[in-house]
Amino acid sequence: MLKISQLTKTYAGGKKAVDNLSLEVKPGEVYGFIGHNGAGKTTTLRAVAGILSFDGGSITVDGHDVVREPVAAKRVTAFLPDNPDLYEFLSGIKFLTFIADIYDIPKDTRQQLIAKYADAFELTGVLGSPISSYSHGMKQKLALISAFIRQPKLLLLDEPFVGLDPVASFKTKEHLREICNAGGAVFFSTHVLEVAEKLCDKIAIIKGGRLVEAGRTKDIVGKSSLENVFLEIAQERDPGETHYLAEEDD
Amino acid sequence: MKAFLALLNVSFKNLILTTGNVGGRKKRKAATGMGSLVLISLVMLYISAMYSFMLGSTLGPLGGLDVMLMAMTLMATLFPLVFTIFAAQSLVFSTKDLDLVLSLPVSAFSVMLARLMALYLEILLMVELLLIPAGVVWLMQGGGGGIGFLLLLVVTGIFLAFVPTLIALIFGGLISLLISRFQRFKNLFTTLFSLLVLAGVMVLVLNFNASFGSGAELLTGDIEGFRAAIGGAFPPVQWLVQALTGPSPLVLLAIFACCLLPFLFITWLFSLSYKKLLTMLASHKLKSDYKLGAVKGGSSGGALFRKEAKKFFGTPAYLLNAGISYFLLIAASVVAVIFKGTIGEFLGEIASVGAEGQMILSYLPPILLLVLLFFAGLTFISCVSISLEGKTLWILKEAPIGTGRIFFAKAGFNFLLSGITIVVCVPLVTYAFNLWLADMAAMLVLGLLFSLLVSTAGLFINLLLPRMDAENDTIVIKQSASVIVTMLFSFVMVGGLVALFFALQGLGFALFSVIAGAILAVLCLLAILLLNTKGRKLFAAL
Repeated sequence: MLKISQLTKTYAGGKKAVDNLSLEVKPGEVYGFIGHNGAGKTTTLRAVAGILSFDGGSITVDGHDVVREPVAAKRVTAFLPDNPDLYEFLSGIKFLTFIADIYDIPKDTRQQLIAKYADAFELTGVLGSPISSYSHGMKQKLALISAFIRQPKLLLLDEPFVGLDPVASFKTKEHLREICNAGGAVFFSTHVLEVAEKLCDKIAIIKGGRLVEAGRTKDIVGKSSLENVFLEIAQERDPGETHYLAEEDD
Repeated sequence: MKAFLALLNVSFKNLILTTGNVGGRKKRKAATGMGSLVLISLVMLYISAMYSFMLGSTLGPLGGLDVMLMAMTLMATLFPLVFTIFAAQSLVFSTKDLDLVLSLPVSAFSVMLARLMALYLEILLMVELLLIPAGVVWLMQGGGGGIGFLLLLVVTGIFLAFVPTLIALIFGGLISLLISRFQRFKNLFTTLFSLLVLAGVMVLVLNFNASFGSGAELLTGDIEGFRAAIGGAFPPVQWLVQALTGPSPLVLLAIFACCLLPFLFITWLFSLSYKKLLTMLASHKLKSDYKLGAVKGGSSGGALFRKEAKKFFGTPAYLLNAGISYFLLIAASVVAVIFKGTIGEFLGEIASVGAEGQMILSYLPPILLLVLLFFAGLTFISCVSISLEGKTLWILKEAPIGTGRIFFAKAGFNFLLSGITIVVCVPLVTYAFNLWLADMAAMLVLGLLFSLLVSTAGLFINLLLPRMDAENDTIVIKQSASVIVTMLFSFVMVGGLVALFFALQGLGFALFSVIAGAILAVLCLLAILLLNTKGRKLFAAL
């Protein structure tokens, strides 16, 4: 579903945010992306989403190269940044309608999907109010709804659980699984290692812009915890050294 | 004092500086923030020098040099309001950093004063830039007082700047009070209140012009009558200039006190309820009784267009600042129709003069056209539309729509509004001034082409000079380099057309229209080409 090959991105001033990163997310997988602050997670996600240009490598989403076929790649992708800023001058329902129009979601389908996800996140009652009156958590929920109604093949999320109440977090995890069960994939970054450990089929750990560990969650965690593994990597592992844990054929 | 200066530093930087867009080149970063302030300053300096010189050289020989000072002092008080009257609301009563500000061990008065003083410093720059050239002209025309007079004028400016700052504070405070109580009608109140203030400013300006406009006193050399006319309309200005030129130190000190003390008092008065007001502004009353009905469907292009429209009509600062010339054009056209009879009589009197009168009448269509184009060029919609995306730009960038479609919606919306205004105004003006249908056709075509040029060029200029991290929309709309540059671009275009008309003077309006139309069409194509090539790359780099 997602193939990143030797992705490199250097910002002005020479800071290499991502250095020769390669990984693959297969259909049906929930793939966690973990790293310290400034490791390159957001840069990677934004490059995959087609928001950020990059200097080297290639990214394909469902067979579409994000540089050569940006519109086709974006059509099957939904991206949410951390702390998503939305159009405050629109009401919740108008924002969802806007997204549905942009993604050409048929009228009947959008009606059902908006109703389903708005009920799930308990946001139906406030959809008529302007987004400017929403709390941070409500905005996060609305942003998630706007992503789910697109029924994306690849869902990219940057810190999706920040600001969500426990019920909303639970619902989000449920819907992420739904996407994967329908043949899609989820690629998300998080600092909440417990969630990553429980939810993700695979995990990639990035440090200093380089991938240092990638593979199935159970293989990476082993008998320890993801927290311990992460701390060990953060302290000891040379960023130039990537460990790919062998995976069994599905 | 340290805390106050720290707050003032942050407030001023917030008002002026920007970090520029991520990935932007240094040149682009430099053109924003301080760059736009420099541009505004240059415009002020040019206006002041031009007006001061014109008035000074006309009134000086008639012994009315002090009237020039009165006019420029009045301008120095009112003109900065055009740029800052809405700024106090967003700067002083901003709730974005509410938690931080209210938790600081600093009094509410200090916080308010620091924010206001940041605005004051910006106004002070404008006031001094308007007064100093007037002072120089005063000295050049033999007004007396030497360098001491100039220094006194600078000191006067320091106190005079408190007046527009206070007006902006009162306006911002009243708006904020209304909004805090009636949040649902926030945009409506802001728009209505702003229109009222603008109407008030226009009445003041008309009064100001009328006090010059009777002209009879000037023509007969009756400067006393002229002085009394202006002084009668704006007495404090007359007192100030009399005290300056007297000089009367005690009167001057009293006037300085009248500028400063009300400012401090009103600021203190507002500070008593500052925390309460900010908290009320930050609280949002959320209705939770919405029932999901039928969800409408539309095209992606339509969605983009509707979003632009919603943003424009739903943001009072955007509507009033970027679209005010639409209101003025339509209002002026309607007034022209109402006074068609008077206009007809006036044109008839000109025609009766003979060949000279006929020649003057032949200038009427191009003059009306150029006035129309001047106001059409003052619509700043597309030239801020990229900056206004701000932190929500990611929504457009990750959407499966081509960049061309995004550009089409932004420039197209600007062109749509301008086009509708021109299509409405031109027939009205044609009727009011009894022009030929051919003149109307020429004005329509040239007006539409010019609107298209400003819409597309404005969007490109915004891509060159984006301001993506402004704290609020008002700062983008009022202090963007893209607005200033687009405005200058429009002025240069209109100036170019004026020059073209005079160059082709003997060939008539028809031929001028054809040539001007061809030039505008080529420029439009160039602008569209630039947008589709360089513009796409600039957008991708945002």
